[in-house]
Amino acid sequence: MSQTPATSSKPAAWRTTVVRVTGGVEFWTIPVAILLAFIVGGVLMVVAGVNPFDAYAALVNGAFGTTQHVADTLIEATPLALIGVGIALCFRGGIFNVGAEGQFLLGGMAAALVGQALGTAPSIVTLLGMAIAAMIAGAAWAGIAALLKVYLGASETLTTIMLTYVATYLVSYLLNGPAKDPASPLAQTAPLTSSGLLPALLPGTTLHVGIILAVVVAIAAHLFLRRRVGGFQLIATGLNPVAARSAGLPVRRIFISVFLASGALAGLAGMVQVAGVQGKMIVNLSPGYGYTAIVVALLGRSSPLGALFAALFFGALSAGGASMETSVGVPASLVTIVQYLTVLLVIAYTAFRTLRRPSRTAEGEE
Amino acid sequence: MKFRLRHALAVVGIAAVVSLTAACSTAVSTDSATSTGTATSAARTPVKDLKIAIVLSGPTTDHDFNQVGYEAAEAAGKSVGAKVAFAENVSDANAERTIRNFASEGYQLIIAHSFSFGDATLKVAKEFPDTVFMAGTATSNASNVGTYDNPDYQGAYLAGMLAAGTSTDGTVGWVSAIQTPNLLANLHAYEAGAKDINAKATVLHSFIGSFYDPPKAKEAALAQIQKGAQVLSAQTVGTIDGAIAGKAYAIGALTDQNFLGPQTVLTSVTWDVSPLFTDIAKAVQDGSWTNKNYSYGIKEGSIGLADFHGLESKVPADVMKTVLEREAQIKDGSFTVPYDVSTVD
Amino acid sequence: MTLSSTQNAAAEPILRVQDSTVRFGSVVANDRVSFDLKPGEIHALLGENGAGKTTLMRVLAGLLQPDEGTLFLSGTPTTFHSVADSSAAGIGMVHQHFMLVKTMTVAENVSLGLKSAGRFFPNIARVGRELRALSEQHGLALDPNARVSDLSIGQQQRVEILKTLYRGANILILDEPTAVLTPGETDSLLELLRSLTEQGTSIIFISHKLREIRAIADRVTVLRHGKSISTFSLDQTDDATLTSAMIGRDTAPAVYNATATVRPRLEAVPRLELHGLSVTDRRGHTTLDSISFSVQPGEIFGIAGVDGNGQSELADVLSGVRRASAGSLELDGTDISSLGVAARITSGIAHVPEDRQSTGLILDLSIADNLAMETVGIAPLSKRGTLDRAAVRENALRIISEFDIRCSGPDQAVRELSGGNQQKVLLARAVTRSPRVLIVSQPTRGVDLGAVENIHRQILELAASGCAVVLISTELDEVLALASRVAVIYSGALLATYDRADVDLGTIGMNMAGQAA
Repeated sequence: MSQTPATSSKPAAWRTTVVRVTGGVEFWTIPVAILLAFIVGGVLMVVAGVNPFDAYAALVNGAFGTTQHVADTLIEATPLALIGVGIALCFRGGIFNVGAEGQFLLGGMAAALVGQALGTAPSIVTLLGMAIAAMIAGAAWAGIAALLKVYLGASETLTTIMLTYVATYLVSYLLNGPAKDPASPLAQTAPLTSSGLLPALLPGTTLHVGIILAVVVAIAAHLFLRRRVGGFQLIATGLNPVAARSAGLPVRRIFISVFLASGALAGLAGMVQVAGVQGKMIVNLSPGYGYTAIVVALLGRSSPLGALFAALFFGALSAGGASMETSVGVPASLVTIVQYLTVLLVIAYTAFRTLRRPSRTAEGEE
Repeated sequence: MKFRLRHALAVVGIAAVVSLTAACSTAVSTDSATSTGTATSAARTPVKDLKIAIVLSGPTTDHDFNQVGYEAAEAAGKSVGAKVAFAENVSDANAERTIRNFASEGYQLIIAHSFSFGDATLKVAKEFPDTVFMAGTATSNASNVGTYDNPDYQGAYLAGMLAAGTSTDGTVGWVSAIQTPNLLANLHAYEAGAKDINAKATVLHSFIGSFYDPPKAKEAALAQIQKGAQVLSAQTVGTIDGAIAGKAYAIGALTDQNFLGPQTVLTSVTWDVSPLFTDIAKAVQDGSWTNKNYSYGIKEGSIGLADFHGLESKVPADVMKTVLEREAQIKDGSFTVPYDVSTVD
Repeated sequence: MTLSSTQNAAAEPILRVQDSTVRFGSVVANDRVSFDLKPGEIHALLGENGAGKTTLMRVLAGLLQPDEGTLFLSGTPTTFHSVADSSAAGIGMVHQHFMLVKTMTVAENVSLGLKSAGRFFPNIARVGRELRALSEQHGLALDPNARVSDLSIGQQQRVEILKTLYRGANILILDEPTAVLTPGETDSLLELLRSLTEQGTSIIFISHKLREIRAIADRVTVLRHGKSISTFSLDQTDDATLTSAMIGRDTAPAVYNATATVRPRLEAVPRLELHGLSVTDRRGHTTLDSISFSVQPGEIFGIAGVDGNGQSELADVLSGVRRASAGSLELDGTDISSLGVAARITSGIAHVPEDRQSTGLILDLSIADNLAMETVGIAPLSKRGTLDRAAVRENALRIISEFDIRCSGPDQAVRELSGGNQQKVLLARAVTRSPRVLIVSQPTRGVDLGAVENIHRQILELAASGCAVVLISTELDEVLALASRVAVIYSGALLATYDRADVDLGTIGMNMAGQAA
């Protein structure tokens, strides 16, 4: 009946899908998607001439077979969970931050530099300094994209990707130049002193306390969304920023805040990898955590606890996949196929449901 | 109505503080548990049913460093009757876990076939004192970690001679990954070889800053050709593509890479690490293995020049003759290729 | 079978629908609907929103196949499997939202998807010549080479009509054709339709405006709750009968037809005062041009006008969503021009946006959450930033019963409510805050009659309690029913302001079409 008002802008289709994935999927679809993905993976193995049952047995063993393997699963899950929770918060706010990779790397870099500067301080001081520096670095990097979006209308999908390139090369420059360990030919910092290393959680394994941090963060984010006014406003803004703004919600501040929070969490994940796994900053700190975490957030239906469980699932697949490769000879990339196939199935199902949704409101709004 | 997200940030921050504080109380005891391993080299117990694992940073089919290592491990396994497993495309971030996986699965000889896996190898080696680790790095000090290297600088000397002799004005190029001692030795030997045949030779060099980045290597190669380089030493994947595009000659590395550019690749400095791996596997089997550095060069038959595939004609005959004479001198010990690992700009 | 004469209106209907039933899952959109169309007749379909008019129309257009029932074309049972089938049978649709490519010419638009024009390289020139002839024959006065974006809304509608005629339609279906037109444009459309029927075209005219139906239609079929209630000959039926058939009971004329308005109390300082408010958009267009008026406490100030003349911008500037590029806004004598949306809400300004689905409500959230949206940050809904879920629910339960919102409970998603109940949620959210100023845009657009009554009563009661109301509506009847003063907005400026008592319908219609009195 009317022209579209100038102030209303329809969200893009992918945004709608993302938001729908957050709440619109029944929970049972996820185990079903996982099962289907494993079946497809099994078929691929048969084609490749491998017994899928042997391979999956090796996968399960590699993920949970020994205490160390459980530790591997948890260690892999930790950065994915930390980053994934941040991205899930972004998704809830309708922000598509795909630059966690860069925020993660800068967090790791900042943590390593502060860790060296505070190398002789007591462990608690060093670690806190590293964590704060990493969170500031990650948040600052995300903040650039946030300001570009809020004040210039630049698409955060593009800016965060571009900023990730800049971050990657910046870190590479620092590790090949000023921050390089003179004693090593490799692009890495000097090893951290023991006060800059995360303490072990389970003696006899490499498990560090990072997983506790990830669980605490996920629960805190969950409570924030459920119980806090800020969480309420974040969700409302994500579903309809125009209506949120017209109801007086500080939409810009919400966008910027959630961007900063997710950047800080990605940075913190970088610190955890530096202080908990590598013991120094290395140029290849991330085997793509920042990107995998996007998928983790999607699979977790953009809920913090969902992201935590999705991260554990991916951690298990990643740890088990490596072991599947070493013991059965199935390429670990097959596990990656299973991971992404799972998410693809969930998204396809959501899109399918969105298309089939009976258009009741359309009927009522002639 | 104030937005509360900064409170959430505060919550996250506090959460971080709390869990770190809680964790630090247990830090002291665990730290000492994982501290030092002593460097002794006592005789080891012989190993029956040897299982060998090799961890690779790239694919087994790269016609380069990783393929050389993978095929040598297979050859060694075949010759001593050992089972061989491998993990390919292992990133630095995951190296430690992969190496530990092999160790905990009972592999008695684990070859970490990348210079960037050294620290990870040392870390895992402390936890598995009965396992033998071979690391492609020069900073080992653990009793169960040996090192090996690729003295292809010896071949690089010959390549430098060939390149400078083939180039009409003595300008040649060299494209590689990162300033590791091994590659620096290679570069300096290549330069020395070039000067050996033409005292006025100019050697351009590039480090692309990554072990595997073909587009960047191609770019670097093209840049050197533009500056006048007529023959390039291809020390990283992508260089030969650049030589083809820039219509220059290239000298391959590690394997016979002529198939990558039949009209471009004059020859290749080949590295066959299988004698080395086979000897190590035998030593582990009979308990005679020690944690020294293993280095097999031209003399041991590990380093050599590949077939020219009909491109001999591009090399002036006198140059070819001098090169072959020099190779013979290295074999019989009458000439020693200079070894220099000083860093360059 | 024998061909019936088109002149014999009493004989065979050209189109007949018998007991058509359409179900969407458990929802019955059409329940044994029957009606017939005689040759050369204008047959109106009257009904509230959601009564099933659109569904019936889609069945006739071949967009939907009925689950039960039969369609007769000149007495022969027919099934339309697609739009192509119904189009081949001579049925043409003119949608409410025009299906035109604005950057193309009239002839190009008509050629789109038309096989006879040539599949890959349509012969636009030939189509243009034929269109010109057809346009002259029907007195449409359209230039086939004109670009659609240069045409007025009324002319674009004629393009749609011409398009169907060119494709050989002898049955036209028009869906709410006057909703987008000025009074003058409406008159000429009705004239055009009449002349079409004289040349043998039969017309189905969908509307909820009695006045128009009375002015043009021969017969009217009233739909209610998906059922066809009855078909009336208009010259034998009075308005009261039709309205009660449509809404299922007698109207309460006191509200909808009220001309009595609440008299403003005169205050020295008006509650709301605008001084030369202007808005310039990013491309430098002036979309709001120096608007000044004042509203007293208890007064309803109506702003009439055709859609798209600056109403959205005015509402945005008053609510704080958009900044004015010039001018100032005073609330009780205090300049509030620099305040943002939240601060204006706190100072007592309430806003009911025109588009409840995209700018008013958050459809995926519950009724309770939507009701809490503006006040969630303060007690009792939250304490120190922590939500009190029980209080949010309590708040919703109270409002639901107070405002008669038909729903399954406070946790039901707003998306699932009817348009009228969605509007009630939005209005209730504003009203329960006891605002000092209410800016309400298009409060009854797409809302059924029962809810209209409820919404109008809420606005009147709020004004009676001392709130200053700015009512922006394209429904002139609505503005006249509620406002004590009426201004007409055209092209971003207020053309004229009248006391309700002095309003002359003819003049105001001219104003809405852009002519100053």
